[in-house]
Amino acid sequence: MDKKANSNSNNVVKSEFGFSLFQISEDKKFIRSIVDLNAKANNYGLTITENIAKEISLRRREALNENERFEFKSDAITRLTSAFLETRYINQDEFAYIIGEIIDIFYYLKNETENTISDDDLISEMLDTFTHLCFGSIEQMQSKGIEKILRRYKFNDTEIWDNTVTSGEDTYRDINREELIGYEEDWRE
Amino acid sequence: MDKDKDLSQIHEINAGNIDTGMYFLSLTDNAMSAGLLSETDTEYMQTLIYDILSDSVWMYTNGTSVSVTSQEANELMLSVLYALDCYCISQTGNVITDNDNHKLKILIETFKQKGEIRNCYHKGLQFIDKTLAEVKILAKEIYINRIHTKSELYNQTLNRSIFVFIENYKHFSAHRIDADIDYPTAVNIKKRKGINYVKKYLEYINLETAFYNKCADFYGEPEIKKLIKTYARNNLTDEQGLTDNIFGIIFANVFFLFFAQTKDKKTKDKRLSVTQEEFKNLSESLYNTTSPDLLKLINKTTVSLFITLKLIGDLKNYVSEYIKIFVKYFMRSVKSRRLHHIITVDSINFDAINSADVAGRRDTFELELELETDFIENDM
Repeated sequence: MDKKANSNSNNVVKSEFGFSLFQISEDKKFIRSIVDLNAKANNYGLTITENIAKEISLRRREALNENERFEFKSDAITRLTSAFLETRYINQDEFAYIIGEIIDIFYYLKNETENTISDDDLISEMLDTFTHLCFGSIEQMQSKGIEKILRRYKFNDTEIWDNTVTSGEDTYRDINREELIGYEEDWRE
Repeated sequence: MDKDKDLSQIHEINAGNIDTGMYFLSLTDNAMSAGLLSETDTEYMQTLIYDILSDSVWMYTNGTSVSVTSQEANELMLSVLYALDCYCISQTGNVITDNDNHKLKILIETFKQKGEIRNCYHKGLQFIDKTLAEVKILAKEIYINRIHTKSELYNQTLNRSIFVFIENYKHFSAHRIDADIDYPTAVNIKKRKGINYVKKYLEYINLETAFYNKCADFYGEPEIKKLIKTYARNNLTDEQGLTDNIFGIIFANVFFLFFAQTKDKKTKDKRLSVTQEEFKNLSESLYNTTSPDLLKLINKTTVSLFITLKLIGDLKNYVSEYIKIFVKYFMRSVKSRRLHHIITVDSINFDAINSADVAGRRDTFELELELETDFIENDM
């Protein structure tokens, strides 16, 4: 699935009404809020430096432009970042990169589901999918993860948890939740 | 540079530059140029508008999302600006003259005051709601008094689309018209959007219906029906397929006949049909009349039309407005010897009108004859 096929960096509100001033101020708030997650990150063996926060902020801005979205507050992305700290699948080296990709997927899914799913529900769904279906693989999340969430929220199809699902050339046997949790625990050990 | 002139222009908004179609932006732009708004003022105003937009996004998503697509954000932004436009309109009206300069300055001073933009926005929304209520009443009135025509475009617009518009109208898309309001008015509606456009549209339709009724009183409705049927046939369609403005069709013949009768100093007879012979005689004589003489006759005709059809008040103003447009067409048609383009002539004989541009119409007409023999047989 080429999720960026239809996107370009045309932010209409920004260009037509000159709101770049507010975006700069919003970005500063966002960076502070990400740095503030450091205490929680430490519990999971991670450290969020200001540079990492800036990198995530930059990625957020890019993702908004690429997905042609306007966001008036950054707190949903702060909650998204906070939630993904808990997955234990993210290591320090990849932290900014993975969160950046997750943000991009978040906006992509917001567009595709046409505002039918709330920010909090989507965060919860993405976390669940990333952890239990993709086992922390961002590549899996970008293909099968997105597909699973779209099937559920766009087409009201929940079969992906119970049946064999064909996605392009790749076929994989789907596993039930209990099995997945079992695999995850094995992996952690 | 003329220094005195330059100084006198400072702190004065040029009312003529204000576009009420995008009132707020146009006003603030002009106020900045006139030195009535500083950069700090505009930044402050932008902050407040951004807050209103944020609230609008939050309400639009029912409080479930802090982001929307850029397209949605753009639409929401336009709806916020439209509410501010409506606030401005509520203070000055839609037409601004130089006498409104003081009111424009008051508007600018209001926007500069702390938190006032938000109040103006809410007052703008109230104005929108009030206009929507007026539109509902007007639409019902027009539906009850509508012209009984077979024109599908007229019927679809006034019996359905207007009500679809009313039902679906929301603050989030207040600047838009999400309905197929395709039946044209004789006079174009300029610099209006959303509910303001629809209100003006219905007011115009109401006046056009009033004119129709005046003509029906004077000529009798069968005469009007006959004219519309002839017009449709001359334009190679039927009444159902008519896409032109009915008022315009009737007015052209009313005016032409009044004109002919004024020219020949005859009494006004009560028919709307123009025979080929009448058309030929009058058009030939008009083609040889000088422009000043034509204009004199047009003025006499206009006065005679107002008196005979008893046109007063808003209806008189509307017809006057349309006459300004019509006279341009009329003069141009006389000059280019193509009066048959605007007048409906009985049983049009294309061979009788010696004009090269008719050839194409004749070919199409003959093709229609072959293809739609039923239609022709029924109507001939």
